[in-house]
Amino acid sequence: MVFIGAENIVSPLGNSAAENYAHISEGKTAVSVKPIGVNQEGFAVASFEDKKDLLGLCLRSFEESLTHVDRDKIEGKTALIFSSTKGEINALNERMAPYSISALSKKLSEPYPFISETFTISNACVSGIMALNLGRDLIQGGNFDHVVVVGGDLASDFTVAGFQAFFAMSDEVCRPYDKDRKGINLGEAASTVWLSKSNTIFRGDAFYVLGGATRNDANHISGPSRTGEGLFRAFEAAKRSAQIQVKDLDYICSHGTATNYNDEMESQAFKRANLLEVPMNSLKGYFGHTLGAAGLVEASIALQSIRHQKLVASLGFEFSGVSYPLNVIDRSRPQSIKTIVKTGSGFGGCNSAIVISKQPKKEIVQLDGPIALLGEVTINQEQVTVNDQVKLKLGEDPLREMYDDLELNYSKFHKMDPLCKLGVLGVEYLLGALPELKNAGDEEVGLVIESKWGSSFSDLAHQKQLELKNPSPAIFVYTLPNIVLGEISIKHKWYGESICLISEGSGEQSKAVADLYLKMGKIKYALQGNIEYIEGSFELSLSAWAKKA
Amino acid sequence: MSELKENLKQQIVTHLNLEDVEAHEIQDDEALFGEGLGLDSIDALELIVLVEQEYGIKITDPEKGKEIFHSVETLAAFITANQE
Repeated sequence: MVFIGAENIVSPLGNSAAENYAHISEGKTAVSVKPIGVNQEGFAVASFEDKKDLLGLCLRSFEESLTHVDRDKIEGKTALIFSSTKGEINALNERMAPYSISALSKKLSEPYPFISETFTISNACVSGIMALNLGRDLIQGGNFDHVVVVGGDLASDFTVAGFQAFFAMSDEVCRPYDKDRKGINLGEAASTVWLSKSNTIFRGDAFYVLGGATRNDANHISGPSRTGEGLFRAFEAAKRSAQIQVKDLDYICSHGTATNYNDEMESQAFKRANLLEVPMNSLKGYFGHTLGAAGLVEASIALQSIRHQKLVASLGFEFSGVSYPLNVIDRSRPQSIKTIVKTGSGFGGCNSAIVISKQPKKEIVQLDGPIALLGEVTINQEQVTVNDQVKLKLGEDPLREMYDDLELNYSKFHKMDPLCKLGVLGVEYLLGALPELKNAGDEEVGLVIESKWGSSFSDLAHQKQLELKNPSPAIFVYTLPNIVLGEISIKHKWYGESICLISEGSGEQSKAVADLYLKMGKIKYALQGNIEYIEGSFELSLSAWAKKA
Repeated sequence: MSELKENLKQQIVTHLNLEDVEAHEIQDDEALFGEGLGLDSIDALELIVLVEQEYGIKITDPEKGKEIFHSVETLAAFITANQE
C-alpha cells in the first residue's frame, strides 16, 4: 500500500494545512478584487500581499511539511515531484529566452540530500493530482520508497493575460456550480504532500492512496467535453483501480472552476458516474484557481477533512446553475469521512482522479514484464528516420514538408503551434510503421512525453503580446506543454493515460514511466519519448512499446 | 459593404489559419460555426481579437459573439453599425 500524509499548504490564508483548513471552515476566503495583470484591471484574485518568488514559496511549504515527517525514518530512495503549470514564468519579463521549469525543481531539491531524483509535471490544471498518482505508481512499482510532491503557481501577468483572452475571469469571488457564476479567480499557493511505502515516516496519521487515473476528452484543446467524457472515464478508471463502489465514497473534492463550461461538464460526468448524491465541494472560492498547485492544495484540504471528520461548505453556491442537481455542501458540518475522491480537469482535455481512504484495500501488485520495442521514429533538422530507415530528407519548411509527405489533410494541423505539429507528425510516422496500433482499444494507448523546453516557443509568442489589450487565446492555449497530448488524443480518439514531464530531455524519465504504466497494466501500448521545438531548432524521438506477449 | 465582406473573408482565413479554405469560397450567408465553416470556441474568441485589431471595435461579452459571428453577412452588418 502507499501511504499519504504530512500535507502542507502555503496560501494567503496561512502557512500550514491545518491553519488553511481552520480558516476556510469559518468561511474565510483569500479572494479579493485587486488590479492585476499588465493592464491592472480589477479582477477577483487570491494573491499574496507582496510579490512572491515561487521557489521561496515552495521551499517554505516543503520545510513546513517536514515538521510532520520523521526524517530519521526516511530510508531508501526518495524522489521529488514538482508540479506547476508555468513555474517562474515572470523570468520572461527580464529575458526573452526559452525557460524550462525543470530548473526550479532542481533548486527545490538541492537543500535535501535524501532526494535522489526529481521529476517535473506540467500538465495544466491536473498537474497536482497527476503528480500524486505518479508518486503512487513510482512507489508501487518499486522505483522509490518515498515521494514528496510539491506544487506551486503564481497569478503572473502572463497567466492573467491568457485567462483574460478567454474571458474566463470573474470580478467577484467565484461561485462554482451556481446559476450566477461568472468565471474563475486565479490564486497563488504552494503545497506539499508526502507519499511513502510505510507509515513510519509520518508523525501524524497517514491515509491510503487506493487508486487513481488520468483520461483525455479527445475532443478539444480548450473547451471541456460537453458529455464529460474524460472526467467520467477518469473517475471510472480510478474507481476500478481503487476497487471501490460509488456507495463507498463519502466526499468528492471536485474541480469547480466556476466557468460555465467546466462546471456544466462536471455535472454531466458526475451524472453519468452516479455521483449526484455524494457530498461535494469546490474549494476555488477560498483559494482561487491555483493551477499547478490546485490538485495538491485541494487534496490537502480533503486530507484535513478526513482528519477532522468535517466537510467544508462549497463557497459561493446558492442556486444550481448546471444541468444535474449535484449534492453541493451548503454549510460546513461534521460527517463520518472514510473514503474520498479528488478530481480535476484542464486545458488539453486532461482529467484526473485520485481515491484516498482511511481504510486499506486488498492489494495485489502484479508487475508483468518484460517490455518490447515495437518501433521508433526520430525527427531532426535533417531528416525523418523510422526504424533506422531514412523516410524523408528535410528542407526549408520541415513541418510543412512532413505534412505533405504524410498526405495528412487535417485542417486542425494548421492552427497548432510548432511543438504540437511536430508531436502529431511524429506519431503519424510511428503509426505508419505499426498498423496493429490502429486497432488498439480507445484507452489502451498511453502517451508519455517529456521535454526540456516544453511550450517555450508559444510562451515567448504570448509574452510578446502581453502589452496588447487583447491577447490571442489561440496562442495562450499552447503555452501549456501538455496540449500536444491533447492534439494527439483528439486526432486518434485516444482517451487513455497521458502525461507530460519536463526534464533535461534525455528520455530516461519518460521511459521509466512508460515501463511502469505497461507493467502495471494501465495501458497496453506506450508511445514514449522526447520532443523539443524552440526557435531555430527542433527534435523528436518517439518509441512505441508493449508488454512482450 | 461588399468590400468590407471581401476583406473580412480574407482576414478570417489569415487570422484563423484556415489553410484549407480560400477566402472567395466563403459565402456571405454561410454559417461560420458548426456545419458551415466549422469554426470552434477558440476561433470565436479569436474573431473578437480580429474585430478589435482591424476595426477598433471592442466586444466585451463573448456571449454576444454567437449572433455577431453567425456569418460574414452578420459580422459586416455589426461592424458597419458600430464603426464611427
